Amino acid sequence: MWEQYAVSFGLIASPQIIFSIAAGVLGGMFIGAIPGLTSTMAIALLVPVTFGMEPVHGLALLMGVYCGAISGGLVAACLLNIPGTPSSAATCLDAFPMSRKGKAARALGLAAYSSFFGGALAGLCLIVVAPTLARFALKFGPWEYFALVIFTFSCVSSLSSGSTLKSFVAAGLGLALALVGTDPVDGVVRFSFGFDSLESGFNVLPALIGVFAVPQLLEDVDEIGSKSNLVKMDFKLSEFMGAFWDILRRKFDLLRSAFIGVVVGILPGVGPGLSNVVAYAQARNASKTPEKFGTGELPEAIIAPETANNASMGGALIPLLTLGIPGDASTLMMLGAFMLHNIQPGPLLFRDNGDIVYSIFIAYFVAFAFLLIFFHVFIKVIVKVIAIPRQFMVPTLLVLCSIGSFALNNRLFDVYCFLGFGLVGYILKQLKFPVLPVILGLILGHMAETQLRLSITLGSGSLLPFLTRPISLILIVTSVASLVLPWYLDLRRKKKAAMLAAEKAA
Amino acid sequence: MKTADRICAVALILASLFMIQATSQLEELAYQVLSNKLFPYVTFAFVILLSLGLLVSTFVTPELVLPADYWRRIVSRRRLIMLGLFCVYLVVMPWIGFLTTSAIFMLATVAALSPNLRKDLPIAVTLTAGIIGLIYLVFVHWLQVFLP
Repeated sequence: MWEQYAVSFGLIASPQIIFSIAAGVLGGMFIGAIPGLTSTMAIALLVPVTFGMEPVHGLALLMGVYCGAISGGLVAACLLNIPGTPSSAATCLDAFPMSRKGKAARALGLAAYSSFFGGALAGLCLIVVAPTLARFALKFGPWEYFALVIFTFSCVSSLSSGSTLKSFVAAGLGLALALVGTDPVDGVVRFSFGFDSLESGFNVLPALIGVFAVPQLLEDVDEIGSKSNLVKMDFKLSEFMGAFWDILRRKFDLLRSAFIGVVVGILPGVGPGLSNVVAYAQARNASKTPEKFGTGELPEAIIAPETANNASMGGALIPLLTLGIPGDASTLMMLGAFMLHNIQPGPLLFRDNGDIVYSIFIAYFVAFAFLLIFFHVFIKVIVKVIAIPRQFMVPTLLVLCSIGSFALNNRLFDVYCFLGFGLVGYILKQLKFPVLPVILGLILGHMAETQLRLSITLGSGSLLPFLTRPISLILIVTSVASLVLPWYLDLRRKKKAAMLAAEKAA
Repeated sequence: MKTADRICAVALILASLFMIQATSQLEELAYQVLSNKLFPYVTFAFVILLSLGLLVSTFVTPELVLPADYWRRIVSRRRLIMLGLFCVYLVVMPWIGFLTTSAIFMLATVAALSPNLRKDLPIAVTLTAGIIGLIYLVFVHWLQVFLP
C-alpha cells in the first residue's frame, strides 16, 4: 500500500496537477458561493474540461472543485442568509445573525476552519475505511450487487425529502430511461424507435447536467431585479483567524459533527445536505444553552453544520470508490467523470487502478490545504461574486452547460438531451418529485439489469440465493427496514399524539 | 397538486403499457439463457405499480398546501422567455455556429430580462466577449473540440 502511495504522490506532485487542484478549489469556491449553484453544478461544468486530461489529472481537478464548492456555500450562508449550497442550510441559522451583529469575519472564520477540520477528519476515515471495505466487497457476487442497488434505492427514497412513493416513481423512471439503447448483456439494440442516436442510449452526463442545472436556472430567473440582502462587512484577518482557537476549544463538537457527517455521507443518496442539519440538531441537543441557538452567539452552532457537511464529502466518497455507488448528487457527477475516463469505480478499482485511488486520496488532502489558504486570501473577492446579478449568470451557465454537453462526444444530440432532461427535471421538480432517484436509476440501471440476469442465470433460475447468502440477505432486510421503519414510527407518533389529544380533551 | 399527480400517474401508466408492448416485440437471441425481455418487463411493471399507488394516494391523502401563485410561477413570463430563447438557441446553433449563436443568445437574454438594460448592456457585452473567448481558448484551442 505504501508503495502505491509513493507512486501516487509522484503523480500528484507534478506542477500542472497541483495547479489544477488549486484552480479547481478556487473555481469551486466561487461557484459554491453563488446561491443556487451547488457542488453538483460546479462539477458538471468542469467535467467536460477534464475530457482531454489524463484520468489522475482530471479527477484531481474535480476533487478540488468538489471540496471548493461544498465549502464555498458558507459565504452566502454567513452574509446573505441564503445557503450557497444545500449543505450550508443549517449554517445560515447562526452564522447570519452573528454577521449582522458585526462579527462577519468571525462567522466566516468559524465556518471556514470547521470546513477544513471536517474535511480533514473525513479524509482520514476515507483512507482507513475505503481499502478495507473494498477488500470486503471483493467477496460480492451478483446477488450482493443487486441487493446493494435495491438498498441504494431504498435509502434514497426513504431519506429524500417529499413523498416516498414519488421517490420510487422517479427511480422507476430512471430505470426505464436506462433501458434505452444497447442491452448491456446481449448487445441487442432496444427502444431506439429508429433513431440512430438512441442506439447508444442516453449519455449520463448531459442527463445529469440537465436535470440539475435547468430547473435551478429557470427558477433563478425569477430573482432578476430583486434586492440583495448582503451584510456589509469590515473584514479583519485577525478576527477571522481567531476562530481557529474557538474551534480547538470545542473538540467534542467537532468530533461529533465529523462522525455524523461521515456516517450520513456513507448512506447512498444523501450527503452534506442532510448531515449539516442532523449535526446542528445534535449540537443543540448536547448544548447547555440550547436556547441560544439561532441567536448567533454560539460558535458551536456554526462549527457543527460546517464540520458535518465537509465530513460528508469524505463519507460519500467511500461507497463511490469501493462499491461504485454514489453517496450524493455530487459523487453521482464524479461517477459520471470516472465513466468518462473509462474507469469503473468499485472494489476492483483498488486492485487494477490503485494509483488512481491513492492519487484521489492525496488530491483530497491537497485540496483541503488549498481551501484553507484560499479562504484567507480570496474571501473578499468571493463576497463580491455572490452578488452577481442573475441576468448575467443564467445565460452564461446555460451556454457553458451546452458546450459541456456537446464536448463529451462532439454530437448535438447530447445538447438536445441536456435540454430534454432539463425539462423533465423541471416538470418533476415542480410536481414535487425528487430528481436524484431519476439519475440514480439511469446510472444504476445497467448494473441492476446485468447483476439480476447474472444472478438468476447462476442460480439456475432461482431467486433463493438472494435470501440464503448472508450479505445479500442483510442488505435486503435493511432495505425493507429502511422503508417500513420510518412509516411505522410516523404511524406510532401520530397514534401517540392522537391519544394525548384525546386525554387532554377528556 | 392532486390533479397534477393524477395526470402524471395516468401518463406514466399509459407510457409503461406502450413500452411493455414494445418490449414484447424485442428480438430474442438463440443463445440466450435468460430472456432479454425480463428486466424491461420488471421495470415497466414496477413503474405501473407505483403509478397506480400514486393515483390511489391522491384519493386518500390530504391536499398539499401550495402558495396561491404556485402554478402561475411555473409558467411565468420570465421563465418562458428564458426557455424559449434557449430552445431557439439550440435550434439555430447548427446553422449559424456555436460561438456566434452563444454570443447572440447571451446578449438577447440580458436584453429580454434585464430590469435596467442601459446599465446592464456594457457589462453583458464585456461578459459575452470574455466567455466566448474563454470557450474558444479552452475548447477549440486547448481541447481541440470541433464546435458546430
